Amino acid sequence: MTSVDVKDLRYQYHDGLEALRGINLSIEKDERVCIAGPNGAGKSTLLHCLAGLLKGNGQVSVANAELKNLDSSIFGLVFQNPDDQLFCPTLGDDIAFGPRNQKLAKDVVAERVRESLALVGLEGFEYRHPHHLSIGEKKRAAIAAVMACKPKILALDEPWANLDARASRSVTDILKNFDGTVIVISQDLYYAAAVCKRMVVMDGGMVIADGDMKKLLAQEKVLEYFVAVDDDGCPLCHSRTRI
Amino acid sequence: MRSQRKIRHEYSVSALADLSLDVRSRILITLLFIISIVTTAPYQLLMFLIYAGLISWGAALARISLVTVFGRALIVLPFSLVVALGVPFFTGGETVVFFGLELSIAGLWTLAGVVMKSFLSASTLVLLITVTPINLLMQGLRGLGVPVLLIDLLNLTYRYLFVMLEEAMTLRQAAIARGYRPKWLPQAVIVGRLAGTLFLRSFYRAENIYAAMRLRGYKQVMPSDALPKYEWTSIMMVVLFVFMLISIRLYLGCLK
Repeated sequence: MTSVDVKDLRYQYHDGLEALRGINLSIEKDERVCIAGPNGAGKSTLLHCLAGLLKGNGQVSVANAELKNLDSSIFGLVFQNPDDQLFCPTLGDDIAFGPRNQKLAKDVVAERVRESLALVGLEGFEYRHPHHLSIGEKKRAAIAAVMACKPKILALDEPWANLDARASRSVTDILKNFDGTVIVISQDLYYAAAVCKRMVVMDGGMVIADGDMKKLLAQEKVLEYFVAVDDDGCPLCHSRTRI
Repeated sequence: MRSQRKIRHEYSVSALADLSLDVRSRILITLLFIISIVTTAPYQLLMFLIYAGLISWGAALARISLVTVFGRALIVLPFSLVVALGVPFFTGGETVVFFGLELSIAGLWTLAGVVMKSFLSASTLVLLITVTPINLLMQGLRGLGVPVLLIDLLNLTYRYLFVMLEEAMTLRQAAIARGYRPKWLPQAVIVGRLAGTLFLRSFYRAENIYAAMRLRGYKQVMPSDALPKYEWTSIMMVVLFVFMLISIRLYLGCLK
């Protein structure tokens, strides 16, 4: 069963920059996919098109329905900067924001808040203010806020960016345990490989490689995108990536 | 798992928050108390002392130090002084010479009144804000019929004030790290540029926040749990408080 189906998707920004140039992509239900590539490749734009925030030319089907309106119970997107995501004065209110918009009963909302915070290891944080949290806690809280809507597809933009090893492991565990389709944009291939089996490599608004993550990373041509090379031509490890 | 009570104490939400007084009553009492303060004549000093006593009593009930309540309220004084400092120089009537300056007595009373009233009003608000969690306060305002849009703006301002301050500090540090040491007025131009950058960042952040809200089903109104029914006991507390204030003012002859 297809979870996401994209056919010939194109998107051009107001300044004329063509961010997506004919993307074709199909993601199966419960599949875990890492979208990687250099800066400016169009990864975030693609995610925003999948979420319905941007309307491109082409066909985008999410959960077997053509994308028309935003639906938090189908597609959940976690932004790179958690401060953009946590906009309520207290964490409890923030987590409850989505379920309340879904018009759920008060006790169901309370249960969702408790459950989501427990899933990300932030039990008892309902009354905490977002500006009192560490970056790792904010990141987990942002994931909890989206997970409270119980989306079928969870998409995350750079979930491991700026996190220390412990916080990164924590986010990895949350994603591993998520019951549904996961789409991750990341440069941290070490953690992405722990979550995703499949990798889609983008560059210049196009998909240039798509397949098994480990096999792709064994290809020299793909490796060039992620691994720096020293003066003698020996590959240097990119960030925490181990290949 | 830490209890809610412990978390509240950790984050300066005092024991008064656990008392049963409805948040709508707290807001109404605060509002009426401030109205009483601002309608008191400046020369009725005993009444101002009673107001200060009532605020201290509230702070004691909430187990908050007076230094916290009155100390935080001091922030309004520069503003009220700027507004009223010129009054003794321009008001007519009897005058008094002070350090060679001819000052109007009525003007001095007005100045004292502005300072006392603004300080006590701010102290009352500090007390309310300290004992009431922000989300409860917003719910209370909504329950009292304050427009939803205004409450949403207050909510977002409260949430992002700290983020913007952090960004402003980062920008300032970045300028200082690159040798910015303003000495002459023309060098202050850079402050304007930093403010412009901050504005642009705020603009882009606002776009992202709105996108995040839309993705979680936002439809122009922030959803909120309905407040429990406004109990008669809570309404009676407001009535009793008003009765007490009027009685004191009548007794002291302050109600004209």
